[in-house]
Amino acid sequence: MHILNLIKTILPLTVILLLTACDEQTKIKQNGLSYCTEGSPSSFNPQTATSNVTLDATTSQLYDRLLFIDPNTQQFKAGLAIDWEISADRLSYRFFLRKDVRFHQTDYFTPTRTFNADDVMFSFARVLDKKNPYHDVSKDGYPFFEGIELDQQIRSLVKIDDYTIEFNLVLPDSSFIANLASDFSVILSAEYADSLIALNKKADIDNLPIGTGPFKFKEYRTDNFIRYQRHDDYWGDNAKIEQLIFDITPNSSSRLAKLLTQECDIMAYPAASQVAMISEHDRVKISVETGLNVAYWAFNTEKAPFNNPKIRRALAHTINQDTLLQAVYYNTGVNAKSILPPVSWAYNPYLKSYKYNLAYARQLITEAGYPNGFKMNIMALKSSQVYNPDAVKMAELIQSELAQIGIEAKIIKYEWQLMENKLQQGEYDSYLLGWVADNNDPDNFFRFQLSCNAINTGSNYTRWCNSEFDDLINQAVTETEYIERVTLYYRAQEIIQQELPLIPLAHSLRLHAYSSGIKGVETTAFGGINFINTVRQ
Amino acid sequence: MFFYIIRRINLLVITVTALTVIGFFLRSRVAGDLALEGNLFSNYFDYLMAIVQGDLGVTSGTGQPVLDEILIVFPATLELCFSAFILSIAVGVPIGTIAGMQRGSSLDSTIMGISLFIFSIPVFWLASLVMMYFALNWNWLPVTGRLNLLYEIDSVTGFMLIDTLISDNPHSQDAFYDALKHLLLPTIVLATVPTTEVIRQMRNHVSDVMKQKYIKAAASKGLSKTEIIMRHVLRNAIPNMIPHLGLQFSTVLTTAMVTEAVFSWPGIGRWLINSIYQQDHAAIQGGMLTVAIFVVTANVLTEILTVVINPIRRKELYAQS
Repeated sequence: MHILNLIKTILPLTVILLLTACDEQTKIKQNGLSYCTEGSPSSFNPQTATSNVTLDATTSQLYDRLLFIDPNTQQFKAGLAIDWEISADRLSYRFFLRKDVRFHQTDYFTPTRTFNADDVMFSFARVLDKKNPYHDVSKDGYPFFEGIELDQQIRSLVKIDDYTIEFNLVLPDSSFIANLASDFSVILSAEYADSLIALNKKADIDNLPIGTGPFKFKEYRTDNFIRYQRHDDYWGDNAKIEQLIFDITPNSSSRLAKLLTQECDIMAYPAASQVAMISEHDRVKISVETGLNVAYWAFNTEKAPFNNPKIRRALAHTINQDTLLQAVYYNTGVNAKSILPPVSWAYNPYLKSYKYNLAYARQLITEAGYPNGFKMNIMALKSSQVYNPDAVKMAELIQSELAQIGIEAKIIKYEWQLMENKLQQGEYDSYLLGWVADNNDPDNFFRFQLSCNAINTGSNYTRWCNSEFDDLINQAVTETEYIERVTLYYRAQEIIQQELPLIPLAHSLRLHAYSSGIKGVETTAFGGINFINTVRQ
Repeated sequence: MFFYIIRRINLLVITVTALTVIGFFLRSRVAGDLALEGNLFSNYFDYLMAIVQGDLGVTSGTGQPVLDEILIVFPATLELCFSAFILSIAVGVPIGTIAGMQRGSSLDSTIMGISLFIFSIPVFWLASLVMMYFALNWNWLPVTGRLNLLYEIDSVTGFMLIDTLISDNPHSQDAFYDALKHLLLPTIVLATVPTTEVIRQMRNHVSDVMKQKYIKAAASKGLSKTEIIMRHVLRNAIPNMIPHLGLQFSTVLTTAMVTEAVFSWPGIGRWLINSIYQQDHAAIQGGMLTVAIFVVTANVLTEILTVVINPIRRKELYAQS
């Protein structure tokens, strides 16, 4: 009989315990925040990063930059530099650094000094100076800095005193300061780097991060979660929450499930198809920001018939942007007239869009010498991208329009690695791709993708080279007058509109879904998410 | 008895050796290690020595030793399996006893009908279903994972329920309840199949016992029904169950992998599936070997246990030897 007695005592006890447990739970939740992100960071150092996932997980949480871009005003704001001066010839930039900035104190590092010029020197030397002991620590290099060729831009970086540094440039470049404010240009601790050399653990610098940001690193379990703790000696106002969790959940339905059950407070990138469903729940809300991105259909302009601008313009008339926005973006995107999104300060609002008109498209193609149409292929990425939730579906919609005017299009689906190979080899007619800006400088959209030089460096896959366009964008970066720059970029956009090496299709909106009690999450148009002012109510 | 145990352990060693041979050839094929200099046997011997020392290689995904990762994920799976086992016994034994006592009655047919129905439900579908209702629609229970990540609990034993209790985190008690809540849905899903199996076996054994003369004798002595069940029926039926439970364990472990995938339970099943996606051969091979060795060991142990606690089996054994 003793078994029965045991059950008799245990059962009610368990029930009572379970019932009392419920109201205790709120305490720890009040001081912590859980963000459901879509992937694992490739490193904890944004300097080495390429993916938005890595930037979101690191830049604004762990680090500071010399200066950053205010998400509301789009102006530069003081970060670790309290002020800066630009010389009259616009070749030297002098930064005055903030004093009494403390680095993170963690289980693996205790700083003995505050932030100074040595840290800035080290952070840039690591990227630019091939002889720096840390330069080769990054296996993937420094893709952003290599892409903008920062090492060619900077002649020297000089420490004037402990709290003053000076960058000397080779040529004036208006986008330089925007690049310093980008999510990649973070400041590391030189003292930490030295201590790791002594311990012979150099690789730790990117895995066990030390920065000056509002949160410090606590724990990372690969493909599972990242745990950050508040940095209580932050130079600005301390973060409101004590603990920040990045819950790594690649599947967007699982992310949504976690949001609805309140295991996550914020969900990254809800799928476009989920938005309608999410807005039915009153426990969660959706925030929408315009993103600095563009999705486009681009052509191999070295290959016939796509070397003929008339054909490209004809194809632009087959695009029904409203259908694409509805079927692919579920209305989480906006019409695109230019490669620049409307939020960019250089966006040209006077551009005329190509109207959807199949009859006219057919006429143009006949005039160009293809009365019976032609065959072509369209390369599309299989996986969803920030700028395009479903490139394959988009390709199918375009394919069906093309079929109506006698063009037989074949869709080839690729993962990015394979597609990049094909793009490098030049074996294609057209491809669906896009661009997400790294900073708010318009140069970022044009130079990589459409300049003549970028054909050789392998990022201009349209292989379109227009000397007038090139002159315009080169002039624009050396120009100081805002009005002049805007005028140059307006003209550059007109040329693209005329020549159409690529057809802009849509700008994707940046979505986040929140639990309704969460306030003060800051996001920027070019990516990045900041939790310093986030509170739970 | 002693010789029996020796024989069983012998079998264990032979099976595990066979497993390592398979593992060795798989690895050789995949990695092309066969081309190494030295003969096959010395290569295999090196491989075996490495395994004995716990060296299963490093994962290509994170560069961590495979064994370290397995030691993190495997306890999570075991925790889930054990709790499912306990649940299936706690539910299955009484229900099976009731059915067995009244074999052939309408209650018996109902119980058997329902358990057959439950047995035939695919696990992944049931998992999605309970997830949808209990977590998403009614918001009673959390949907995925082992613990709300805001609780920072050091992994000591790897069993979350124990770790939360012994943790010095000021919120350890809340964490324990949170872990319990997270455990509930996957446990229920995982327990369905073994529960129906326990019911079926229990029913058969109980009805066999009920036919015995000593039950009639006990009844005629005037013992109440409860006393008969507790003293005679269960005591004679349960030992016969144990070998069946041992066999169930490998089924549960397999089902656990599917359950883990649905509930994002950070156990070895999900870990293996991820390794397959990433084509991480060292991890796949190490994981498989660990699971296989574990299953074989568990089976041998239950067999030994059966003999130890069941005098009838022991008698059979002496008759053999």
